Amino acid sequence: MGGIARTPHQRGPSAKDLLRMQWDFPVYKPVEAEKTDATTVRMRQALSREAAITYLAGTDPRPLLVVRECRVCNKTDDALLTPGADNERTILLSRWFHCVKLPVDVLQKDHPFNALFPDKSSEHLFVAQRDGASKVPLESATSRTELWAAMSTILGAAYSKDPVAVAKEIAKSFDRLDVLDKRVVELEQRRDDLMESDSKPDLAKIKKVGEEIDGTKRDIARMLDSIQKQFRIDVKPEAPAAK
Amino acid sequence: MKAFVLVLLAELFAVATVQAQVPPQLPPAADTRDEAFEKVDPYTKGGSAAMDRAGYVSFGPFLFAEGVKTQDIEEAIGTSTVIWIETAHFKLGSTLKTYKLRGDQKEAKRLREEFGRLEKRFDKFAPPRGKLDPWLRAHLFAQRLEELYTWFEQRFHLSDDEFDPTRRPKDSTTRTTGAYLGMPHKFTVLLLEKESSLVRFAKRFLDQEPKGYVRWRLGGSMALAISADGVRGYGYELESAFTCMVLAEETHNLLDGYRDAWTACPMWFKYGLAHVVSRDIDERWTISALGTTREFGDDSWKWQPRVGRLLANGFVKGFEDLFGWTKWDEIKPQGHMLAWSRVEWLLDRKGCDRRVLLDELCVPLLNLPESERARHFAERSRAALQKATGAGLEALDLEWREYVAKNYAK
Repeated sequence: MGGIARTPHQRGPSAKDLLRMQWDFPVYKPVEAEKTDATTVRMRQALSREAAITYLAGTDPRPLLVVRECRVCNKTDDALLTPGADNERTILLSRWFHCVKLPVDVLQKDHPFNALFPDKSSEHLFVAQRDGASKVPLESATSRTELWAAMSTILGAAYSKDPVAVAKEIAKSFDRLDVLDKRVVELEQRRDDLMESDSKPDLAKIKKVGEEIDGTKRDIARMLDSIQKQFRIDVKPEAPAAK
Repeated sequence: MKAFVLVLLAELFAVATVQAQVPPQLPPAADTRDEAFEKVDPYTKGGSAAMDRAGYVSFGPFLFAEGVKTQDIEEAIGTSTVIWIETAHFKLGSTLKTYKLRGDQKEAKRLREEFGRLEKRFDKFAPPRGKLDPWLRAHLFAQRLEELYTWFEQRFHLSDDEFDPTRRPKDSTTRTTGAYLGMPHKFTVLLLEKESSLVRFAKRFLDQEPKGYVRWRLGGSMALAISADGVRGYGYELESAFTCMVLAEETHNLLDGYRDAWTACPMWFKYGLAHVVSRDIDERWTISALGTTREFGDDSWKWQPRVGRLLANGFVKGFEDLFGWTKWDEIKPQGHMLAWSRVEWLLDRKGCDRRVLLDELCVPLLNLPESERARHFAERSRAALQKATGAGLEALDLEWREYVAKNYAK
């Protein structure tokens, strides 16, 4: 789920998967059970800002990156992912955020999360700590440098190790992953061509190609495993409440 | 129920995460702007006589599934711009935006044929030039779904009467009481433009977070929710590709809903039949047959010569090789093509009682442990084919091979 990175490079499937925004699309569920039929209407209510933040954060320990979809403009995408620009850094940094996307009707006064985006003049995106503190509102006019600075500030305060440096290391892996992905596609096509050949198939060659495919896929799996380990950085423990 | 949803989602997750073919160019950035739909259908004007002529029961609001109103869905996905249509056998919701035709000749030809059939349902119908507006897309899908249902009933010698207890013939052997192939409620379909809408809906009502699409059993109906965003995300831009995927997945639901069988039908038959349906629309887009398309625009979608060469080169085992599949990702590209070929051949084979075949394959599993499924599907498939054709597996296999050798172009 989530948008695929718009980057100048055409990435292979492994890197593409890592560069997919991992959006959470929260839907507020009332606590009480209800029965509905075709005619009954249940009224919804806006939560307080604090309650809305708490609900969105859930049990995810990461700082928040919250975006609202917009009915009349494309600001949602522009605010975070600039068409034509290199979004890879943004997407990578977002992995250390709990990325939340809210629907267009969040602007309605009775929407449970309306307190976060009260009206049309509200920003389309903000980053904040998990409890909503240190909020930085952002817009489509925000430059990439300002966006990354805001993200870095929040990340630096939230994590025990700097994710920005880790993101740079991970980005270096993408070109190698692309090479391996391309190799798998070429080998699979070669195997298909050998199996579907008009002439007598070379079974030894098919077997060898199959082994090369397996080997390359193992290399990809090892790289992905290493990258996933790099993504795991502990958040700083929350400060105890003041007495 | 949760276990069943997870079974289907495991298949789906494999579809979404297995490496997709790289399209020739990146799809354009998603336009997340909502499109303003006309509140009243411009084709029927909402009139009751016009709706009757179109074969429609309601434009909503209505109960979508047990405990789920159309208003609940609108609230969950965050928009009230949903087109709702209830037909004889389906409840359909659509947030699909206007589709601009891309100049694909095959797609244009198929649409002209569909317009010819759709025209008879409306008092006035002027086929649009160059685009399909949201209401027209909904009408087209309503027509496609009902045509699929009719095809399914005709192909397997079923009828609405036998599922309606008030009209069932006295000598009917049908065992279930649900009016919709055995399900108590109509089949439900949500066609969503945005992936975010799909996930919001599934989170609210299923506690799941699908990618691209999800099939599930909600209350007493078999449901499908699919996002156009998700399908475009894998490089399939044409409306015909989206249509192929919708109808292929709905075929799975018809089989899962038949006599409330729910995942009882063996995978080789489900995927084989779904591929038959999809390829009847447009052979280029058998989307769930992952690995069969090498490059967009090449000839890899032409499966007959590929199957023919696989057979000639000795890479095809017997019928039984397909029977034991229990997971989607067990199916190799060659397996998809062979399942399609065998099912298509069976459906047309003289002396194959398709009704018996369907009945014997779609018997509910009754808490069968996962570890027993492969063996069970193999035994069930063997017995079903014997009963439906009067022939053993070896004889059938030989017959199919002769058919391929004679009829498939090389």
